[in-house]
Amino acid sequence: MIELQHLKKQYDSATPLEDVSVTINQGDVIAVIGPSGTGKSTLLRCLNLLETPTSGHILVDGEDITSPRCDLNRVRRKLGMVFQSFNLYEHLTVVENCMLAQTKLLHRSHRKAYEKAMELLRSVGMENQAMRYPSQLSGGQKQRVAIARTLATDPDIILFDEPTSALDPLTVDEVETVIAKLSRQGRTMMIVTHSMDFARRVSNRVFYMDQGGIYEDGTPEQIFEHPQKELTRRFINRLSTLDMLITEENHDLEEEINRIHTFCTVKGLSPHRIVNACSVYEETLSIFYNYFTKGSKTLHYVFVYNAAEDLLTCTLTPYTSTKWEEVATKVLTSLETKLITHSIKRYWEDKTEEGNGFSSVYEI
Amino acid sequence: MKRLLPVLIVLCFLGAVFVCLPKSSVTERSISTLEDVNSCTVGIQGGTGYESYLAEVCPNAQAVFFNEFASIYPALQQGKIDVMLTESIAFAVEKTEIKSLVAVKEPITVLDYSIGIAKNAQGSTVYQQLNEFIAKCRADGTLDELKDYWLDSYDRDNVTVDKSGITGENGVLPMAMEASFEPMCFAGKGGELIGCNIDFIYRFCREYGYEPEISMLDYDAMTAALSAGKITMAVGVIPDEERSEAVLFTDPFLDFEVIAAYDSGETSAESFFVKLGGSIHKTFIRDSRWQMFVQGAVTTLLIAVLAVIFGTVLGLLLYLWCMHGKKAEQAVTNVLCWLMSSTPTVVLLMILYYIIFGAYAVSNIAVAVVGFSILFGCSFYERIVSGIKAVGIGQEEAARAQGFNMNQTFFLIQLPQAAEHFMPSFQGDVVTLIQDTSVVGYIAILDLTKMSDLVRGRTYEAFFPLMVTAGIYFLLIWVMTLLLKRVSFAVNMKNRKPEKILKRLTKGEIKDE
Repeated sequence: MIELQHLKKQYDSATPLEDVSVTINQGDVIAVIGPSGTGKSTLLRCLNLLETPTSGHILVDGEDITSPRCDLNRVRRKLGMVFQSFNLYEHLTVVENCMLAQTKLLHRSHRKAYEKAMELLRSVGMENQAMRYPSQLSGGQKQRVAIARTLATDPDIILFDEPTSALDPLTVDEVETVIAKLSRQGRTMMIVTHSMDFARRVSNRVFYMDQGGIYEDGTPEQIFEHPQKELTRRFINRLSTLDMLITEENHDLEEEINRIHTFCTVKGLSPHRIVNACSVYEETLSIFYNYFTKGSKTLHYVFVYNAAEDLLTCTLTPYTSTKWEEVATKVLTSLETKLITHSIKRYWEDKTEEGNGFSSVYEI
Repeated sequence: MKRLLPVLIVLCFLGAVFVCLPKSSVTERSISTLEDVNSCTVGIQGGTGYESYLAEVCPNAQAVFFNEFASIYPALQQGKIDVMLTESIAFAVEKTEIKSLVAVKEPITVLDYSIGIAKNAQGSTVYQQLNEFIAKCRADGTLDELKDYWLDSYDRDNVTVDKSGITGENGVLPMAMEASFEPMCFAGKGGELIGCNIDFIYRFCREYGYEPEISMLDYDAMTAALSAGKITMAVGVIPDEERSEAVLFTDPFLDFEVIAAYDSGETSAESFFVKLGGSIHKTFIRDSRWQMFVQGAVTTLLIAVLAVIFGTVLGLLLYLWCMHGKKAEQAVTNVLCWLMSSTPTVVLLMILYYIIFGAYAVSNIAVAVVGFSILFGCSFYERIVSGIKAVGIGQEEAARAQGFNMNQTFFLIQLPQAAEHFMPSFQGDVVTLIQDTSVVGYIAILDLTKMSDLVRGRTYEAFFPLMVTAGIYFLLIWVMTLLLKRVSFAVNMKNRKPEKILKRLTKGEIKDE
């Protein structure tokens, strides 16, 4: 369906793609993973020529779209794209976003385009927001609309450029669910992502990108369980994540401590660090539950172990309906005194846009 | 507060009238001889060259220059100058308007009154013919008759010019003269140009089969217009050596004295309200001068509206040209915008008028519209650029990825959003444009400002013409602003009513495939 022949992309300062040759088939759901700066997004953006390749050819259904004679605007209709930053048309309502290309490019009647748009919005759970403007939506909602907009023109393949990277952890799920649903419907897709877990769940083919090209190409089982090549192995083993979303309803202290304990043990950490990891969790949890007595509260813990640097970090992002600023100082001092005894480095990251104030990061 | 506002405005206006109404300054000195003038500040109209004659007889007098004659008397009245230089040919008229004006007996000098001719093909023919005609008129007493009718026994309410019998068989004769110079050339009833110069020119044109095309220029602008070939004749100029390098001068058809005049400080016994009524009558009612204000306002509005329309189109075209083009196109546009924003409007207009369109018969208003369109277009181009930048690259990419071409992306996605950003500054640009059009008088267009100058030139009063002019500008700008606010509201897509959107979206039938 799409064939890349010796694709090369060179910038003044870097060459993210040296020589890429690969064929994408109908029904492929490809997750593109790899370290930062290895040309994952560049590859995706080259496919619909948002970036012009330095050399090489891209054949879409046998037609060379890099040739100057090619009607690029027609070919681009076959390739839908979903962006990290949504890029919805801010001056149009949600439903109009999904209709514009239908009426102006495919010359469908308003009525028909409207029915199609509403059907797609229904499938992503946004039909109630059809007459709102993008600025009135949350990140997850925007991305779902963006997916509906892309589907509206019936593309043969959908390119996802880090679709969940700009979302807060609570809404990642709603977007991932939509993408997973598309995957089950047998759509051809290509997804650049940093979330290994999601990549594994949704894809039937994985590109590990490194060293200026597709370093290893295989099934999810192959790449994640038995990587054949050295760099892939290192990358897969390097970053391990334990992701815990604690709400009042599903809270079970004993089980959570167990999960942390297991995670650390598998990574071969010393007993001292395992204890520290558990106490960071317990103490922060108790402090938050003490201070936020009113309203609902959700705590998002992410433990990341970087094997290459032997670094274990815990990132805590609180979500609460209580005004965070009011108790912030009290919580901060409290955390300070408790954790100092464990000689745990702690720093704050401002995450005003995503969470309800900030995230705190602990190096254990 | 809203109800109080009109009352406040009226109060302010009355206060201003009271403060500014012509009041005579008391002259301490008595000025009766040139000896006395020697120690005075003297107001002179720029470009006349009278300062050199003044320096000969009164070496210590301090000269102050004014652009137009109409501004000199108010300065005299307010005591900014002690004496004004005027011409014997105009003094009688001035005296009827300003009772307290007194002339110094001895003249400064006696000068010839002649016609400047451009050094070109038409000019040399006309030069011959004019000298012939002047000689003939002198011989048969026509010149004396003119002098008697327009000067010696001048009856300002009953003078007319016979403008009949113009065939134009030998072509159009473009010429300029100084406006607001009663009785030589001035706007009579309803703004019709009459005067001694006009009378003489019509006699000449009738005899030699020309059709006169008269534009109004300031005295010092006429030589430039002659050498640029914009006009063939400048009527009513004083021959001098330096100018004769660039311009031919005919034999004089009149001569006149340059005299010094001062304000004797005598106040008339009329009451405040009588004076006020008189001023209003003079400014608006006499000779239907209100028509001049209306004409001027229409001209101003015409230039402004056309410039906004063409400028907007030009700005859009520039943007599209750059969007499709490469770096070269953008560089050209940037240089153009930079040039336009750094050239004073007047200079740009004069370059267009004298140099670029110098050799073509293009109407003055068209030149002004072209000039202001370019200026407005360049500033609008820059507004679009910054507006599009504010929209961001993301939506452009999304649209291109969906398969929209560059034009569709621009008109469907970028422009509607950019409009939201640039409309407030667009509004400001239009206001500035209307204000800037007040300089078109420099290229002989009778716009609102120029018309009020003409009226001032006849009434010798500054207050009402200027206040009314300011008022009309305010009104024009106010109406334009209201209009643009509506446009602003209409172009903002987010102001659409949800029901209307829905109605538009769901119209039509679902066709079966």
